[in-house]
Amino acid sequence: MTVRDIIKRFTFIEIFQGMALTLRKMFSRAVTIQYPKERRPIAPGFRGQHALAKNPDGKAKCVSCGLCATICPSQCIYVRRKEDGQENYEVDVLRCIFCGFCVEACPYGAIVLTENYEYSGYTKEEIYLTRSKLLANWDKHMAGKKGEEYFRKFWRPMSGDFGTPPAQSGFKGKKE
Amino acid sequence: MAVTEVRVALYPAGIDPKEIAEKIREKFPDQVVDVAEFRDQISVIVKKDRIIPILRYLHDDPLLGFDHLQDLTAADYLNKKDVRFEVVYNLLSTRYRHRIRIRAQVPENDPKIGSCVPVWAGANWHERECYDMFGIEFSGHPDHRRILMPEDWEGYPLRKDYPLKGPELDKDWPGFTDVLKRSKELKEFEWEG
Amino acid sequence: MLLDTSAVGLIEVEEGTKILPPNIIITSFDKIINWGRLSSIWPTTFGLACCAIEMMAAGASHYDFDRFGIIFRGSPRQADCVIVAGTVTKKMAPVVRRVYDQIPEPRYVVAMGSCACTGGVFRTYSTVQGCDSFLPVDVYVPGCPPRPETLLEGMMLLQEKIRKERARWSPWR
Repeated sequence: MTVRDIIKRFTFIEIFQGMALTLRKMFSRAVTIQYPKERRPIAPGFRGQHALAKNPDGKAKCVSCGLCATICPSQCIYVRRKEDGQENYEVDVLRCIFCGFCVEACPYGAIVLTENYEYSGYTKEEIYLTRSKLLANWDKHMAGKKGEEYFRKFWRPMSGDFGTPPAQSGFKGKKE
Repeated sequence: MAVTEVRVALYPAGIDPKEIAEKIREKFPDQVVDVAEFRDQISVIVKKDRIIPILRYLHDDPLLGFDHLQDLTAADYLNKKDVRFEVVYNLLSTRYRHRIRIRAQVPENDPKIGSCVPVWAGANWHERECYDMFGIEFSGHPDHRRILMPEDWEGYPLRKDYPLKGPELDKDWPGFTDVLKRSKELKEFEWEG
Repeated sequence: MLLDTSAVGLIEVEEGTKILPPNIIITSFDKIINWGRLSSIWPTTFGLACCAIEMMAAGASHYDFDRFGIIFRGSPRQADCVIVAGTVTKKMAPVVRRVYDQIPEPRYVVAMGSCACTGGVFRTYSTVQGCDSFLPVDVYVPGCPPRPETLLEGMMLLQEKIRKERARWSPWR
């Protein structure tokens, strides 16, 4: 131990240096985002909760072809078209890994991932998305110009026009 | 760049893998079954009986000098080949920068092969994982246990005939079913609003 | 029966169980104790997979769990809550259950991320298909992994749940 170390030890110089840093930081701007009141802007291309796209006339674009259910790596999309034309589209969000393959696979741009990330719940059923909930999500988060622009920019859908697709042979569902 | 140039100057460039395969065939003529080529990668298919002398020769020969075992794993060819398993050794010579792949055939009824830990000490955990996932026993291994799965797990998960979702709940690993049973017993003490 | 039940006003909720009806003493105790509990949820430092990285980010200065009184504790015996952050493998399930068993009452469980909630993409032999098979989960936080904001929202939901609790402090609960 040198004389220098002994002086350092008995004058508490390092403690005072640390305290000076603390004091200086007290007058600088805090980095904390006060979450429920202010939010960090979402990065472009963020993949959040799912939604089923609607036409301007309010009809769902999905034709139940089942490409999204086929490509889904965690197999969390259940598509089924019944004989009477009633479509069933369910997403088990708690299994989803938000890879975005369903959006890339869809030929009509019918399923999108919105920028919503606040959907925690007390039960699994709350978070499970049925067709009506998915369509409501579109109205809530993606309807209007902003949603359409976001979708075109980051998902580059295969089809340029967003009109209603012609009726095509439906997906009868996978064998259980 | 400079380092590479110096190395090229000091040591001869790597031997063509086809020549290495020929060398193995000359040295062990009754052991080499086949030499397969796929996308310019040569793999020598050998019998499992004298795998350790083959690997020892590859490691010790001054012109081959395979001092690095890159990977040791197995492949399951269920219903595709006559011999079900193949233990795959990917070898690299850091001195001469040439590579070779050795595949040793291991039949289903006698899944045993010699351990190459005396040749490359790094093979220890690889062989344990191989035993864990495929059930191939490495005779002479210093620490022959499972590495990833629990010690009392039944079955070898990476075999093709093992179901992906695992065994049924009543035949599941006892450590996990005990937890489920205990949580059911303790459920009555939980507070419900 | 020492007390005259009609004088105190006990009401029978089920066969053989009588409770005091909510009165001003009970509800004020409820309010104070629940406020104390929800303002100091202490989770255990317990991460299992990549979700734990987001959990750390939520605890760091940009999102700052401490604003809500959520402070990570090193021991489950000092904690109120366990955040199951990540894939629960079957080999790890006894450990998770033991951590939960060591937490003193009142205790809460937050399942964070797809893997902890349902098993996620891993429908395999080694993964528990949802940690609610052996833990009583209070809040499910979706996402893969969830943003720190999503975890904060989940903890706020847990606070709301604690706020609504009635008479969890009484020995006759």
